Amino acid sequence: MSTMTTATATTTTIAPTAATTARQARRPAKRRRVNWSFITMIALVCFMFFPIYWMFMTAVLPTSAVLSRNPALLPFGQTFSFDAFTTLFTETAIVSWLLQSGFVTLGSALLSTAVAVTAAYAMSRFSIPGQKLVGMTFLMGRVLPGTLLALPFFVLFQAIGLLDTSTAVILANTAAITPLTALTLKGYFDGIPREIDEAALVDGCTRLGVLWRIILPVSVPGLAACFGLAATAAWTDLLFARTLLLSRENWTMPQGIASMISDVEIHWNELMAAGLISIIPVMIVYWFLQPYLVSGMTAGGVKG
Amino acid sequence: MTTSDTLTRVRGLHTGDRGPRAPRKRAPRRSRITAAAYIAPSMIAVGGSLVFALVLLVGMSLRDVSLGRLSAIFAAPLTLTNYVEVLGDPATWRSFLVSLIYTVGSTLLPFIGGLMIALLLNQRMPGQRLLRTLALVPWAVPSVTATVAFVWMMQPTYGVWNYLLRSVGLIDTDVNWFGDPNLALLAVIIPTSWKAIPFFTLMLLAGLQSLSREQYEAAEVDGAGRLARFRWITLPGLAPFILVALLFSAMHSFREFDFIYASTQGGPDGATETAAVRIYNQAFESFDLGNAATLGIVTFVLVAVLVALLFRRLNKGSLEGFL
Repeated sequence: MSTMTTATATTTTIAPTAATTARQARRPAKRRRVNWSFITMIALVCFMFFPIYWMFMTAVLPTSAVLSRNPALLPFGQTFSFDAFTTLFTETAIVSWLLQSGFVTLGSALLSTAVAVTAAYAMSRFSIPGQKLVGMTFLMGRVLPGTLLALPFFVLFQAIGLLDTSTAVILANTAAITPLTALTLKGYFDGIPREIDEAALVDGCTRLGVLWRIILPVSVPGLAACFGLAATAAWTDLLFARTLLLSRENWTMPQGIASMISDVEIHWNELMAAGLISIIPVMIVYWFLQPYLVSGMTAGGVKG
Repeated sequence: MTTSDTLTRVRGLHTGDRGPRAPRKRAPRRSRITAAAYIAPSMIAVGGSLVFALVLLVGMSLRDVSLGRLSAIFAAPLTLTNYVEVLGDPATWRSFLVSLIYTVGSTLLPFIGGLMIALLLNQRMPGQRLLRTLALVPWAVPSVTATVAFVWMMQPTYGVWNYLLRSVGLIDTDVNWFGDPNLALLAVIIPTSWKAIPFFTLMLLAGLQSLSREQYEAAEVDGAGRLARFRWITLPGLAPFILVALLFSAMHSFREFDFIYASTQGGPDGATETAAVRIYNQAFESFDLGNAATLGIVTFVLVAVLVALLFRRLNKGSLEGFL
């Protein structure tokens, strides 16, 4: 029972604090005032949401309305069509891009989560030989530009014949993502009392058994956050895909979108439709994992 | 104290003080081997590729090579021409300046936005959950997608930005945001910042909720106004969170590739070519491997020095558990 409480306690829930509630309750007289915070917040949210709204408008409005010097800002009185989506699926290789991206994303997320689990457990529970080195390595992995890794990866994968395969991108992504996932997961494991480990060890469980049977089952939210962060990073990766996947039929979604914007004549409707499609999987992950991602992000200082 | 000492303390990686019953001091040999085995896969993945990358980059930077086979690279004679060339090239230093402006710009802008949103969300208002979810949405948009959306919105002829600016009379000609060398850097900073706002919102909101309400109550009793409470309670309490958020955001922006590559590819005339993008362009557009590797090594050294200096100045408490 105490495990569960501690594990949940590490999940930062963002809700109005008792402080705000108490303060507002004490001043009922002022409640009728215009709530400027609310109005400002609405304005800010509109501003934040506008690019997505505009993508949608561009994707569903006819070309004549899109290529207008006085575009209609609101959807009222407009004719909508989903032709851009149809064209996208019939005339571009988007299905292939999505499948490639899906494969690379799943592979990278699974591999980097698996690698992160043991690393995070070791960092959380053991005194590791060469601890400083591990810390430095992970930090360096997070600061150095990915382009600095892209070139050696290109040479390496060319040498071992993996260039232009999804495997190469998965391996490259794993190297780039693991510092984030391992540290996120370590934060989560730290919240689980080590007395549990010790009790299990006394009862004759092996270290691996403790991790597998005791720690992992109570860490499902942490694992989900870790997996979600890794999947998001892999799904959005342009750099490694662009460097390591050369032939058109191996392209991923970001590459496909990047290629559409460098076309001589840009089809904005289709480009925005493709953009919307690329958002959907992340939105789904984000929707289900929101509470865990929040704690993961704040604990690991992870930026998507 | 060495830098790595500081780093280890800052990162909270020490396991020595986690509970009184933890048998750490006399860790048996077996458990050290177990620990090493557990950490090995990640070290191979991360450390292995870093070491491999650095060795290869150093090797390439010392040779006059273009994109080719591994064996051909190391057969070439050693030379320092790459370093002479790269360090003497004004474009190198300009790319670092562009990196600096880009990093500062796309850290400070979302910081201001994120702080505003966090302060607002920390108050009670109708539809709070929905507003929070909507305010965090940019986080879920892939960089490339965010980039094309902004390139479209800021398109000179049909873009909605220019339309709005024309409507209110701020501009009378079509501004080519991404195509004008004077504006392109600002143009790429905007989508980068937009996507970074949720990160700041989350970090700062977490910080705001960790502040104790007693302090606010005491201050209110003492007659402190809104501004005074913000200045003397919120800001100092939030400072460590602000510091961490700024630091991570800056680290992230410095590495950024997607936003710039998908919009301007470093152009026009190198106006948006950060060090990260220049390394890529030198290697995969100009096929000058030696030059790219050298620039990579110079970047690496610069980053290492900056990180070392930074962590020397930070006190350990503020970063505990965040790295």
